[in-house]
Amino acid sequence: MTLSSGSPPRAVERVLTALGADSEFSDTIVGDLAEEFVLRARWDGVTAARRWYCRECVRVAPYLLRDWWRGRRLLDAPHVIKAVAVSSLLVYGLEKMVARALAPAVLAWWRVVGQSPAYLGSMLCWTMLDGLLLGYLVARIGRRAPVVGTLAATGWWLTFWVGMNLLGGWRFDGSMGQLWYRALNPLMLCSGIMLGGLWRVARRAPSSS
Amino acid sequence: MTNATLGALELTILLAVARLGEDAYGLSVRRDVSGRTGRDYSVGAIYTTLERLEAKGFVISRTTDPTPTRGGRSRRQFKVTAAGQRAIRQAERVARSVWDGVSTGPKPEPA
Repeated sequence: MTLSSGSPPRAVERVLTALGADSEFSDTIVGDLAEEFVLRARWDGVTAARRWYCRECVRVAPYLLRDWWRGRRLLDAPHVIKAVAVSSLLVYGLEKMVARALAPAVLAWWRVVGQSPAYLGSMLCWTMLDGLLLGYLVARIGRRAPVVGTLAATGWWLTFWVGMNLLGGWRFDGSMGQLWYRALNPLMLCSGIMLGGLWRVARRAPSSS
Repeated sequence: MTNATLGALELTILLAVARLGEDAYGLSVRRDVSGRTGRDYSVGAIYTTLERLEAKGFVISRTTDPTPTRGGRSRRQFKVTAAGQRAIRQAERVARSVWDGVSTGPKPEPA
């Protein structure tokens, strides 16, 4: 047993309060978790208490999201849609600009390496960067419900990607034919969006306006 | 008088609130219920059920002053209402009636 009490991870607390639930409901739950964290930190040590806290946060998140869905979804929906649309357009525009600027170099490189793992790996990293930027922007623009916005963006892009692949109409380069690449690309994009959004939320408290 | 019915978890939590009296809030209710049922309920499940009980008129809640151990947040304490007490008595009557005449098997012989 250690006597150090510590405090709950603030970043995780911020993510919980940013899930969009009614502030009284989320404050009560986060307060209870904080109170138990202090007790567990005294009994079991800070590391075990932090592990418990993160596990409890995962268990409690669906209830907070459900509270948002019941109470504020109609109020926040326009903001979430606006955040996803504006962020997607910004990232798409930026990507077009960068792609146009780098096109000759990328094409020359592609002629050399073809569809090698190095090329496909770099494309996956590019997709991940896209996702990170997109998630960050969604959470920043949709400050009223940043986590919901991030989840909505993830859902929208996943649906879009799967739909385009099923239709088989989106082949911007020859690498789209490789199954592992086609499976990993949406995964990288969605992970990027979630990480980017959560990173933004964990650094800043949500806006109450 | 409310005619709302009680689910199994709702009844368990209502009984915990009645048992804990003045000390009934999310964390203590969760400890009590988890300790007695042997199931580890999340604090979200407890509060969702407590809110449902409050909407049915079986409990009322009030917030206390913020405390430093809760990161400056208030505690939400619950209390059983008269309708809640009636619902508990009704549930007890139903349980007795349902169990009436049922044998739970022979008692174990003393060693």
